Amino acid sequence: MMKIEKVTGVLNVILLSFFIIWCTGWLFTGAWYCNPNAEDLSLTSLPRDIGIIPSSMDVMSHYDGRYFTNILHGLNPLAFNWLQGYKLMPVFGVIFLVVSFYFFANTLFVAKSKWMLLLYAGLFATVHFATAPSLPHDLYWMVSAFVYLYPAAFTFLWLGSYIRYIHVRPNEKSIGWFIATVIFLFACIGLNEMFLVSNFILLLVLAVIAVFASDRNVLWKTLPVLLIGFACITFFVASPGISDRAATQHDPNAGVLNVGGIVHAVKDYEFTFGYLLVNGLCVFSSLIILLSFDSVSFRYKIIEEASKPWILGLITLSLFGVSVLMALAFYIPMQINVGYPARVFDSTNIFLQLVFFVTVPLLAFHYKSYDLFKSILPYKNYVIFVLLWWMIAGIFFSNNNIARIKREYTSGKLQKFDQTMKTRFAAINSARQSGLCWQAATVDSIIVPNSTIFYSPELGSNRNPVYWNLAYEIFFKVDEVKREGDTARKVQ
Amino acid sequence: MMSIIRKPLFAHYVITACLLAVIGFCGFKLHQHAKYDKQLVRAIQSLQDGVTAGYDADFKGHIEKQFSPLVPEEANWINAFKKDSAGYPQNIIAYSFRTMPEFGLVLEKMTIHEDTVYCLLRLRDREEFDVTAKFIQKGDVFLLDDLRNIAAFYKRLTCYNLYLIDTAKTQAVK
Repeated sequence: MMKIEKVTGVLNVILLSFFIIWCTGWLFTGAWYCNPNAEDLSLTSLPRDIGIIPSSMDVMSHYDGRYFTNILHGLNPLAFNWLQGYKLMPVFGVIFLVVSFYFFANTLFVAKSKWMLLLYAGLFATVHFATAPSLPHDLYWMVSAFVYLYPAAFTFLWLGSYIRYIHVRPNEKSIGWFIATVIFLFACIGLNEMFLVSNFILLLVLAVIAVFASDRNVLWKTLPVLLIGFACITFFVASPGISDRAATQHDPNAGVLNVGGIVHAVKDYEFTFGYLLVNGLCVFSSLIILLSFDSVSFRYKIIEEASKPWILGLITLSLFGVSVLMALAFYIPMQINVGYPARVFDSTNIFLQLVFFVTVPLLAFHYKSYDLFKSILPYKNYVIFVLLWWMIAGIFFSNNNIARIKREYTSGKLQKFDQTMKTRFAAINSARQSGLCWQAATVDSIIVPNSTIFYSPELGSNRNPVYWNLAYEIFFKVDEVKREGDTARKVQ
Repeated sequence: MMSIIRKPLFAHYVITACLLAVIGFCGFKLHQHAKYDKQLVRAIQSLQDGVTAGYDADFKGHIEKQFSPLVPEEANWINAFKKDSAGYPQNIIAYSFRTMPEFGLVLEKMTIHEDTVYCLLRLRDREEFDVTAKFIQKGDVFLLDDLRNIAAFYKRLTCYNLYLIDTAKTQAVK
């Protein structure tokens, strides 16, 4: 009996590894075929041509306050004219989320094996990408991933660094973690308006903890982090671009509160959370995590104290609250009527996933002495075995992003898209190298524009809207890029 | 309190002070930049209004007057603006309208409607420009909705050795 259980335990590790490798394998396959869209080109050509600081100032004067996103627009393969390097960005995105969550988890818990912790982080990331409402926004569309994926990873990094920084003794030796905290916090705040909410709340919570901590050293160590954090938020919010953008997107008929937007947000939130519950990946992961560990040991005392049931309950509710407020941070200012903004929930899902991956399993640990648990524990490896098979079957056959990438690959949609883009870039390069005074390229349109790895904006017919044609023309430094069949000329 | 800050956390607070100074400085420069940017947008709008009003001896002065508040403090930014157009001299193009050669297309009319500059051009000597007839027909109306478009238009003309001439000189040629 013991031997079978041991074998099942080993099988479970193999199955879990298979699940993660299968998912990341398909995510990387998608990366192999992904290509930049017109907005990637438009946003990276400006910093490439005039430099990161002038271009950031230009965008922040007119459009937003995302200072770090604007910096990243100048620090990526496209900004160095490396088109093929674009395919590495989704790979980096996956690894970035795994590494950042691993670091965060490793800060919270002391794991018996680093490999188990890595599997835990891998499961977190793959479930996130498999259930993301819009995978292109979350991963494959580079400039969108800067806004919707990277801030989540930076949140894990700055929180993890902060917890380590606070616990380093003597204080002189904490400078490394302090610098890491400040850099990651600075980056995190400057990426997306929605994460201003989560960062603001986190900083407030840290302030309260620091003020009431019995050790005054915590307050003196936290104070510089708070000062920098709130300064970054002020810098973001006070950017002239924020008010300019709000003015252009303000619906004159909408009230200040935008009640319609709030109702819309609640409905969309319900839909998204419902999907997370129904698809099973999060719920099953939660059960697997709970059953996999007999005990949990925390790296720091403060985390152990925070694992009391009532505090965990409060954190769980706060995670729901933060994700709701983040969604509202999109809906309330965006007073124009939009459909389901899937990309918004790519970000909020991270916080909901923390409920499934951290707080609920920790809460359930407190009730392991209950009869129901006691009756399951002897068979836990078998239960995990069944759950893992269920998850693998789900990833194969249910409606999720991994299954969609696989379907699009087997139907040849991904390859066709990649080929169209390769032909397009070749035609543009050919025009550029033609030596003609007026360098014009005619390119094919993408037959099925939106997929798991690609999302518009794309060239419109007859230069409508002209902006995306200009994006290509400026990025590739040619005079005219038009679609096959266009009758309109660049100067019409 | 001070001893805590002075000794073990001194470096932390120095870094914090430096960062806060940098953030403050960046915020100040950003708002200054946005202010100049708005001035430039106004200048461009005035420029288009000037184009609509037609070419005359005062046009040069009109442009220079509009741009003068931006010089020299914003000279660097104007240079950046030039580079932004991927080699197209966006702001210089406006000046190009007053340095037109004496042959080529006749600009018969430029009007502005809903932020779009409409240019009505006429071929002075159709036979001389057979090549260009493929893309420019007599009586074509060119819609130039922004300076970048004007720059592209200007380049397209120069690629085919065509130049705009101003209406006063056209009369002289005729």
